[in-house]
Amino acid sequence: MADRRCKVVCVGTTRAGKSSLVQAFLYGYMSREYAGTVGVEFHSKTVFLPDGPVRLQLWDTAGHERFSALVPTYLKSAEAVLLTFDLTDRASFDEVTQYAELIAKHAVGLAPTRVLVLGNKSDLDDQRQVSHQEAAAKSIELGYDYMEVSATQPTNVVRCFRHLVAQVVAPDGRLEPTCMSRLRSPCSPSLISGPKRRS
Amino acid sequence: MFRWRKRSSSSTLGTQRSTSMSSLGSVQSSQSRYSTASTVSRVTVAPALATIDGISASLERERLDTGTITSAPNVRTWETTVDAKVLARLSDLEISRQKVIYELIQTEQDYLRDLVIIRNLFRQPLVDQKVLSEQMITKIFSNLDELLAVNADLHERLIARRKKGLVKNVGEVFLDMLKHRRFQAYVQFCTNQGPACKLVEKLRRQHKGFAAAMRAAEQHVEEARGFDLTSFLLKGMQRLLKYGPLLTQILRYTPEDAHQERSQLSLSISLLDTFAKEVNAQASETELSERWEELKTALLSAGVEDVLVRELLASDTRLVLDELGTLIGDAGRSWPIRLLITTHALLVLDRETQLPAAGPGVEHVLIPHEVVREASLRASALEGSKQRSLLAVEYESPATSNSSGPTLSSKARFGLDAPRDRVQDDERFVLRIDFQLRSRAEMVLPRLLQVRRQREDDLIAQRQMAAVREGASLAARPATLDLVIRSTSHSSLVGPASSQASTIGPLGSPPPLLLEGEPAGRASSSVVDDAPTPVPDWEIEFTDEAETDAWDMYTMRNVRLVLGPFGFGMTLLGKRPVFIQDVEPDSPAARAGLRMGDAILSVNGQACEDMDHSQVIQLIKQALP
Repeated sequence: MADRRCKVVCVGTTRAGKSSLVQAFLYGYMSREYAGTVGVEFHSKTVFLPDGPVRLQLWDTAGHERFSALVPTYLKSAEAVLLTFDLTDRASFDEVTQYAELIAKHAVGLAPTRVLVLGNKSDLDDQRQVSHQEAAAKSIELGYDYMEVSATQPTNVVRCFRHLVAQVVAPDGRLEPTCMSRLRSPCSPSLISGPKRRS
Repeated sequence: MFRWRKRSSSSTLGTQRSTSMSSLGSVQSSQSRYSTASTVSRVTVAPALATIDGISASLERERLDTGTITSAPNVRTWETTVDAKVLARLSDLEISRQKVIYELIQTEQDYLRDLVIIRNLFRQPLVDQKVLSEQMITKIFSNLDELLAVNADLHERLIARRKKGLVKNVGEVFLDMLKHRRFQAYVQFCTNQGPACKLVEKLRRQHKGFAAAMRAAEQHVEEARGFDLTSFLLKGMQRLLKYGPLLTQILRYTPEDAHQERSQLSLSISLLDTFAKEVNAQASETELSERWEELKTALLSAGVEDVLVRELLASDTRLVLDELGTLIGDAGRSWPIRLLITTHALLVLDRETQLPAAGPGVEHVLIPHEVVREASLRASALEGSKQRSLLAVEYESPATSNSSGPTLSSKARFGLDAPRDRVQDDERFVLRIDFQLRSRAEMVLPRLLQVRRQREDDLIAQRQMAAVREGASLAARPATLDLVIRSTSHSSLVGPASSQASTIGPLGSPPPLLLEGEPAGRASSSVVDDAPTPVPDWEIEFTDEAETDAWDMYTMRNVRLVLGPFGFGMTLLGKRPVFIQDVEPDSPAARAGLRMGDAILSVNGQACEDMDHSQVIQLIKQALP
């Protein structure tokens, strides 16, 4: 039984796709039937790292965005944060700064490496409103890592969670957004991708 | 692997099936002991308890069958619960609808199960082993039993509507629950959750017995799933906020011709939203008052010297808003600050030091509401798709008014002075704060004005009381109208030169409703007639290098109108939001700088952006004597 735990909190604007992301991670594309529309309140899943299992506790704040007094309660004891925005929605990207401030204010003492900015819906390339460069630059400015994901494909979903867990368990293997191209493996060309190539 | 320990006491999850009568008794007794506001009637508790027992029992059954309890929620799909023939007849829309309803019921069941786990696994041992006093237990678990009763009832009602796997009229169930204010228990539970979590963490560190009990509870891995008590306590709030999105989904898949269900669903959604706002307001009030206490202690121990700040800390003021922003000083200098709005004053803290900010551009760290003359918001688009949302608060020097040494509460300078004269430049200061995000700034401005108006009312009431005590008579306050308006035209900031009036009028709106003439010219006409040259007092300079390329999206500002002999002198048009259709020359509205096309966002502190025409008119009428 995994006795190492990691509390991951998902924040972001409404409709950024937080729930879809969590569900894609929990249930995978194989069993989309089980994934509901609104999402789990909190859930746990064990991730197997090279040095043993870690129990991930996932907190999805979907539905809470407008109730500002209620979100900070989640962040208080967070060990890692997924800050999701929608690549096809400029306004959601602009709110990243605001969420960064919330995180700094309420998740006191959380290392910036434990916050991962996620640009979701990377599959909708033709509707993209935020470039990969701009999002990566903003993330660097905030001190966070950045990744682009797609909950529907799913692309990078498992990877982003594993990355976060690795930050909590072994704080060394930091993913530098600046040298992301080196990390692309031949078999997964769109991992940590820039704009997805259309074939 | 985890093994269940059989216990002799009837308090754990396991033994409740065989002794359902005794567990029923124990629940009721604990209910009377732990529900502080026992608003739950017997009638509703009875079926609820049956469900709770059922859940306890099913937990036990699962364990007997498999040796473990599956920690995952029920992963059966909806299709497996429906007869194939029935399924074949359903439309795609109905299938989608039923799937969401199925999810609603399944997640409700999971939620109930979690509540039972909180009660049986976490609370019961504390009670049985007398680890904590009853009072402490109530502080942590609040009105958990009420929540259990409410949600068991909801679950019961939903299940009762299920026939052959299909559910009709979900909206009716929710509407009935909401109309009877059945979710009211959540206000207490959610408000309590913040303090409760803090208490749990403190006790875990300091109270050995409690820490041991918590560890023991977490040992039940299959129920607790690795979560601790603080996680479980957040469940209530999480569930409450999920109903809205779930019902919205159901509504989406409800056919257009199902009028009753559609209207009941929409009404339920809006009631849930209102209710969530109420809970949010309560929770944030509790949170803010705690934060204010902490801040006060920190500031006092840091030895703040500013007289006004010390006075504020000693007063009975409450914290209303706590926002982060960037202060824009002279010559484009900026630094991060924390803006605190209390019921008495605005306070600017440096974000780094958490002390009152000082530096070029900050003439005053504390601005009492009395000296605030004007608050405006300018949202502009900068180069490279960046935005800026600048809040400008124009005020008179709080220091000069303080020279004679009156206290904050006795100054009351904004009472009867409207329409405001233009303040001399050397006495006029502007505090400029960039909130970057429009939505934040748009939230701050109306709140600031609302608090200011409230403060004004309080001070006037105080003054009148004092006057009555001294036997003096005080003139009645003239009817004033505080509006927050939004102008989309840049020219509206230049000044009210009527020849250059902007003409952004909405098209195709209903005929205007004339306001003028309705109040037959009573009260305070002299105030208006004697007013000096109509110079706008809201004209604020925005000069900043970074500003040169800025393109204004809109501006928001507050405007105070004093009722004149012929009314306010404006006609309104449209709804959501209501626009100003026309302004009479030389009327109170014209002097205040209102223009055709300005949108009215709030009236006397009450937001009205989403209101119908008649509702806004109603609000304005309330302000009349």
